[in-house]
Amino acid sequence: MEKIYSENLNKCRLAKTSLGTIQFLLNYSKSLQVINYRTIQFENNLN
Amino acid sequence: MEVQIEDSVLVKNYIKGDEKALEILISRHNQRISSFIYSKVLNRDVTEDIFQDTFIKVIKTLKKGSYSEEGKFLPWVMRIAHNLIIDYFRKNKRMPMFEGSDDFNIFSVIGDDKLNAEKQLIKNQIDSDLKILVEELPDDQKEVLVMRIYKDMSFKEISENTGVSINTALGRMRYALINMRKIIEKNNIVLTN
Repeated sequence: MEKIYSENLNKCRLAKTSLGTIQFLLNYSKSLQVINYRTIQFENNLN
Repeated sequence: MEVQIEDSVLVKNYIKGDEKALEILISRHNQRISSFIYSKVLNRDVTEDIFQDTFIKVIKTLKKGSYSEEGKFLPWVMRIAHNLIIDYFRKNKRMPMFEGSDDFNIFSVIGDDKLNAEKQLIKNQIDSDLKILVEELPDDQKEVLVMRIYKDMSFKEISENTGVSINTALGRMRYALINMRKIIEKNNIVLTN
């Protein structure tokens, strides 16, 4: 039986977020500080 | 042979303060999550935005200690991404974005409410003619009409300002309009656009 191979690549499979966005997320994570005070949580971004 | 650290271990390490663990998690699942988002929104920029928003939520939840590890890190992240995709479509529905193309431009269907140059000229002429007509009125009627039409005052404010009762102000306004119509008819003035 003849096998038909599609030459069109599935674009969705190749989608990947850029390094810039990943770097931003990592920096954001490093800067984010959560402070618990009694029952309240404060989010703080350190420089 | 490289031993791959499980997601659950990486999450635990990240919560304890190991930022490197987050980097491994994001790299590991980048393509899977990005592909999922892209398959729905079909736009690279929007995919990046939603990916970023997804992981901001992930980071916040982990740092707050609100995440309970049940060995389902990726399904959890995918669920967040999925919900953000829905939010994106809902927002887009409220504020549709139109992009013109060569074949069709939405502005050929939707008009601009503003008057075109010709109509604006006609309107200016009418306004100027009306001002002349208003000058022909008796002073007390002119005063009330100007306050009402040009200064957008209420009859209560007009009566306080002019020292007459509201009924008198109303009466003067009525007579102002009657007299203007008489002047227009007498002089065969046309004031229509």
